[in-house]
Amino acid sequence: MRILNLIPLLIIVSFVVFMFVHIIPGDPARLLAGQDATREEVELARSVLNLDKPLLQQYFIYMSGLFVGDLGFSIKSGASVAQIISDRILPSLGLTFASIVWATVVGMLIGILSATFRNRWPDQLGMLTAISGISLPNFWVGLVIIQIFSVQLGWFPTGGAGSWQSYIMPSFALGAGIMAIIARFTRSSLVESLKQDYIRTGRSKGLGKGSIVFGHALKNSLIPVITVTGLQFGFLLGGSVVVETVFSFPGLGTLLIDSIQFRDYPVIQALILLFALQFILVNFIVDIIYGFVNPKIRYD
Amino acid sequence: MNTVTMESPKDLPKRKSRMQKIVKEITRKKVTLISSIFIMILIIAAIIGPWITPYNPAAPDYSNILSPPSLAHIFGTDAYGRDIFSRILAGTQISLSVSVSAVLIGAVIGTILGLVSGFFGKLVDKLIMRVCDVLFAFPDIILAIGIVAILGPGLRNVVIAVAFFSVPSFARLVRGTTLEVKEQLFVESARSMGASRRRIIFKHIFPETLPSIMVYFTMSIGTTILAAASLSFLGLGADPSTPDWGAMLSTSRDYIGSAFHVVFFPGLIIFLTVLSFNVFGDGLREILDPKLKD
Amino acid sequence: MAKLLEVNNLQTGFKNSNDTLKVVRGIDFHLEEGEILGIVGESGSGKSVTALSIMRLLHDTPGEILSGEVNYKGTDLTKLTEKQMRKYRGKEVSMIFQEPMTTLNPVLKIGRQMKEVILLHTELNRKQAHQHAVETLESVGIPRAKDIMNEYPHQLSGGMRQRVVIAMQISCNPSLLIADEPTTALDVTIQKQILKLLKDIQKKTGMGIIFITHDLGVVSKICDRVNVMYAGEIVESAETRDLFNHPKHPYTKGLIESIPKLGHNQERLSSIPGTVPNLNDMPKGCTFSPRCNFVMDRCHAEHPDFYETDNISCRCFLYDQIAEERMSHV
Repeated sequence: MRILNLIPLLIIVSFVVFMFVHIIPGDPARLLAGQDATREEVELARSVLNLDKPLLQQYFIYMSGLFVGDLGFSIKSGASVAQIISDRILPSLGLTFASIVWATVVGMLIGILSATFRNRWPDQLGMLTAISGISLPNFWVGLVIIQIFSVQLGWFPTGGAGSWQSYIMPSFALGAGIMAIIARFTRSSLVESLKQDYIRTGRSKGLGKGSIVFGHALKNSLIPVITVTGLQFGFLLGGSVVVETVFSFPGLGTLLIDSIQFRDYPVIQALILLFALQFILVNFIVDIIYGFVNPKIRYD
Repeated sequence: MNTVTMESPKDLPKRKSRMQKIVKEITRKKVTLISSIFIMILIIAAIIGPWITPYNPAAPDYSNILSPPSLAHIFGTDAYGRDIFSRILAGTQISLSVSVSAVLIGAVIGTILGLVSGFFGKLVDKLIMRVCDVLFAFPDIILAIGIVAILGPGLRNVVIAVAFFSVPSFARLVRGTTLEVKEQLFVESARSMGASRRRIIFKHIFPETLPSIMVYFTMSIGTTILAAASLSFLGLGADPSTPDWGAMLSTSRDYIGSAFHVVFFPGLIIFLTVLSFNVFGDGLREILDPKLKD
Repeated sequence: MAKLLEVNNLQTGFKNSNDTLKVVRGIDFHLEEGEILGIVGESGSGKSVTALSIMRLLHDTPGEILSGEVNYKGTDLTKLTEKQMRKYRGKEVSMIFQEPMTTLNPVLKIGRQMKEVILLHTELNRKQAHQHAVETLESVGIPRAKDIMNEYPHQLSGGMRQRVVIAMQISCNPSLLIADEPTTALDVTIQKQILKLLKDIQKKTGMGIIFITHDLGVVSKICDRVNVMYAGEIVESAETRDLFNHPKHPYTKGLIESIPKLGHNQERLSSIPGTVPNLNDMPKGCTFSPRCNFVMDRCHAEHPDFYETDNISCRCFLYDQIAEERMSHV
């Protein structure tokens, strides 16, 4: 059912991305053929790119290409876009995954501590950390920790994706913001849950604070937290472009920036589509998890 | 319904005392007060900053490059010997005006779309919300990068790109409140008295959506400063020679091992600015929307 | 009969930054073993806060016990640490609440919520706890108890949910059950069923029940004895029969008159004019004096004590006169 709802969105998103190459100023065919190409060469490039066909037919060709993994060729290197992306996707996925994992774990922990010790010092400290985390420019965090931990202390490599150590600092810089958001939402959601009648019921049964928070309140609080995590995943994808640049990390983000500098439109187009798809996919997964946590949705 | 949204927009004296109450509430909470003072200083710096810089922010001084913070240069100097404090002060105008104008454009378009969508419903509503869904499918920065890739780098295009991604959030926010308010009694009675649709929207519904717009506006400025700085940092925003905060960080990257202050101070200012807007927005939300407390 | 619970001079209040609002203002009462005691009053009379004070469940409502004793089987519950108190809640003293729609956790299965309390307070293993939970659910008249163990609260009706809450709270055989308006949120037929169920449970297990309600009609059906609360005090205390036959306090009289009587075609429901006084603005003297039809000068100046008449204790100067008259006759 939910998958069916997704289809129109996917079609429109793919169409928007497809149109991208038609909106850009300048003639993509000339770009491919080169500045000093002859008129014939430009026309040849145009037919290679299918730009001489009607718009709908172009879209159809583009979509059928997508289904077989044909994303076109890079203007810069001539290599297939699918190949270029597949070389870069794993480090990026690893980085995103590491960031979301630590951010969720630490964010929820801070949120739980803040809510249980509401208005006392752990709460104030936790929320100060959280609002700072939201306000920190991630590229600056990256630069500062490079200065401290790579340049001064020499603990971690300054960049690249050569070893697991090189993932630590980028995932810290990338996850800090989302960690802060998760902490704030966990807190407010848990505070709300702890006010509910069923908490008093739990206490009237003789349950301790631990069982109350972890056994009863937390699961109820997860519902909004999960939604927010899904929505903020886009924040993470966007941030990855910036953070990867800071750490010269060989992922999709740096690929996007390089491609923009070279005006390598087929690559940019494919990457933007990929980022959008990831985001849609994550929110789809969030919807499913949501159903697991909230029994009402499952049965209705 | 809380009292804030139930208040009739016609009660002008009440409105004035509400303003006073808001100001009083702001001064009551210490962090909100500190953040509002910092924002005030930023606004003053944005207006008169370029005229009061201790040094010319654009003039290189090759005898004095990358010198660490000292009495003469409290934030040190950059790779061209330019005073970093002067550059930050002069750049306040750029950074603030970029984000404020971007959010303003986004807020105006988003509010109009939200009002129209919520008020008229049906096909218009469906259409606008579908468009928002599509825009939401693209992560903010990615959308902005895409737009800048199309339009080319530059601050003007950063404003357009950032405004573009703020539109759907405002539209959704305003649509939600509009739907709530629409059902309320005084709109019903206004309609039965023969008020025109435009009058109902602007005299009755719009004032009710204002508190949440104000809160979201303040919070968005923080996020937008970060987004604009990110774009400049990536080389897609301000020209590297302008004293834009993000651009300063972008050019300073190369000196990170040798002159840390070049990186540190512009970033610190971005951080403090965004922090103030976020803290202030939080405080404003508690005052204007008691439902959202905690 | 032995005393199960004895409450002495209990005072409970909400502490503000600069002052304290007393909600329960020094009450004394006791409960015999196997007795059903009603506590009746309007909302704001402090009856629920009394219940929460006995359970020591106040800190959600930033309230606290200011002074007094709550002796349960000889132990003063107010002196226990929170950790010690937890061993009493659910095992010795249990409580059921007004709103069955929200007292159960919506995201946990009934079985989980039932077993939790059994595993906490008994030596039973998981399997035995499951069995015991099913049996308890059956004992409160829940059909297909086994299936319901795997269901979520929102799949049950309000009456069923209240039965589940009752089953949950009696599953460890507490000696005292506090029922805070357990039938108020339910419709009339379900109300009757739940009252009958509580009475049956009391007979079968011999537990003492404190039944809190604003509805004297309900009290007449279930309680052995009644305390009437007004503005944080007990104003009248008697056996149920005596109270209904010869109500003494003007407030109680008003309450009894406001019970809608079946068959009688009343023109309108008589109710007591006015409202319970504000906590920070208590009248001097008798707290009921502003609403009282029999008010005397003395009522504004002095605070009445208890006077005994016809087996009824009543905080009202009207009965002081009677006592005085008798004294003079002797």
